[in-house]
Amino acid sequence: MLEIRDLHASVEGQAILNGVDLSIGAGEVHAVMGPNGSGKSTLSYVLSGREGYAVDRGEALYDGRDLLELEPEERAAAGLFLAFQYPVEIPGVGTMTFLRTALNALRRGRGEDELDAMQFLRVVRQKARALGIGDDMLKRALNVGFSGGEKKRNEMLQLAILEPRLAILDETDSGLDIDALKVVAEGVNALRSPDRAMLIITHYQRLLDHIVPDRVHVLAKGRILRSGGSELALELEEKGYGEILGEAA
Amino acid sequence: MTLGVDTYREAFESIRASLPGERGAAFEAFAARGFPTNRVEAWKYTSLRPLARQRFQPAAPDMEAAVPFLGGGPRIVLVNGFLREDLTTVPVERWSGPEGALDAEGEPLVALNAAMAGDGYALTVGDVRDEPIEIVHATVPGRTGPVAQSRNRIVVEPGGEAHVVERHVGLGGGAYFVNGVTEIEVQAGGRLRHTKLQDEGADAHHLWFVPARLGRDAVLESTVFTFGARLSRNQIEADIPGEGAELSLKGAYAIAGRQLADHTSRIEHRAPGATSRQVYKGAIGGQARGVFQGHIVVAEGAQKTDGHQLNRALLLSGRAEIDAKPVLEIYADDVQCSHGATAGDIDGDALFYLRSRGIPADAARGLLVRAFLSEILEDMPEGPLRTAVEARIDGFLEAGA
Repeated sequence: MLEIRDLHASVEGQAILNGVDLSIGAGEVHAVMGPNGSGKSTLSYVLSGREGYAVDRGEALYDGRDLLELEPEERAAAGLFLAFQYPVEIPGVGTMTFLRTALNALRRGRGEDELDAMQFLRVVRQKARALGIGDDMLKRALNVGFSGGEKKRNEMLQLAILEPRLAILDETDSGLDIDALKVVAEGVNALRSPDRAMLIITHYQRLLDHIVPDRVHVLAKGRILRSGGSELALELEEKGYGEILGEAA
Repeated sequence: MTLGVDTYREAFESIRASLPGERGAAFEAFAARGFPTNRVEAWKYTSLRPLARQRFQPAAPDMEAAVPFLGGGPRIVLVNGFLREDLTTVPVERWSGPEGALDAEGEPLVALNAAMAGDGYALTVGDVRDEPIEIVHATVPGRTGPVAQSRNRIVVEPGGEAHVVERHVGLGGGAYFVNGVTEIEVQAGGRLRHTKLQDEGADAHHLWFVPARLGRDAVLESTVFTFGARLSRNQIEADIPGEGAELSLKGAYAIAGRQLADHTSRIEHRAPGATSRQVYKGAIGGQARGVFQGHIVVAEGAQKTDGHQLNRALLLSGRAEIDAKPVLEIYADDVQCSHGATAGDIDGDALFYLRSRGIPADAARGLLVRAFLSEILEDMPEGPLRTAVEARIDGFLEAGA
């Protein structure tokens, strides 16, 4: 489903990704782990199309299509979703207005009918309940005044409502206490399906206790230095990144 | 050589005989200075030179024009600056000349209005009016390019309470010039909510002056929405001699192309314990320009004055501009006053966040502009006025500003 080949990217002239190769098939869950500054977030932003991230070489194919030439909204329409490490607060835009605008934009793109207010409310209520999100949170402006955990749960709500085919979760576990982490993990697991792929970006192994990945990759110095099964995450937790970084040096 | 005097003297003489009251003194007050130039401090950012050189015909009554209304409630209708009694459903008096008028001396354009205004409404509110009163100022550009000048007055007496909505529209395309005045007096304990929706034609020039006076414990909330006109200025001069009075001035504007929208206010706190709040927000696209001048004066003895103003502009293009000039002039020592101004473009992080969820760039920008302006609409109840303002913001966004 996603095929990244020799991807080089830079921010303000500084090279961050130095030849990333990564292949994710439908139905698979992959984890990218790595120390701070290894290029994890850059990878997520390059894939989702954020401005200011220059692709210098290589490609990323999504279902055989050149992902990197699409606008961010076109990537979303094609089924890509990024759960932000730092969800943005937007005063004056109601959470419900935002969710409905986004869902209907995607439905239009897929040639489906837009949902009216009542249909939409039913969808949101049901999915919000599963994530422990109350009506009071939905009534507020988007992410404004939300705690760190509430913001992350709101990202998961968007994931559940927008039903992407490829979800990238960028440091979704940061800022979550253990109970919230479980709720989020359950939400993510419920979305696992044979035609949906996920890329989980994380610094720590703890999220992977709850969402068990098919493959784990270690990203450091802008490259995938090692790949393995879910046991690699445990090994990293035990030994740290030092050894792998040492091997590469 | 004073700007525009010859042209307007000719126009004035052509209608002088038909005007009620004695106008000579008012015209000479205008003629002594003419249109203000950029050398006048209060007009530094808004040039009237092209306007002053344009020749407009004094507007005549139009008893035929169909006028669109927002709601089915009580209303006052003026076309070309003349009252349409057939469409007006609220008892009002009419302007009968400059005797006793407020401030014909201070501002040359107010003097010009005092000299040439042929009509206007005077509304007195002595009781509590539940339904908003819709006041339509419509201008028919026609072929002549008219200058419409009406002189209006709202008085809220002690115990009176009302919501007045003044709407300014052009009926059909073409250039015209509106130079109007609405005097507002809220007497002791009275409450007035005053909303202005300026949606003049694209080739219009709109200058409107609002001299206001607040008595003891009077409340005036005046909110202006500016969308139309090639050049517009809304100038409020609030005099607060009343202790404990509350004044709130708000404004939201959305302009594009080569529009200029000027919001100028001067608030004079002359009594202790009064408050004033000002919040103006503008979305500026194309090569448009916003001007905000907010001047707060706290006179000696006006202790415990609480005066704040804030101006925020969202610049939607690299060639959009805002000139903001806040002035605090304080002669009392126990006061709380502040001002703030910001200008910036759309938040790139917010825009990316919305787009990453599948919302197309234009729609995402629209959501963010709407959100930015929404603070000014916050306490506006659902109804035809709110619907009209929201539709106008949507229209601005759809036009690709």
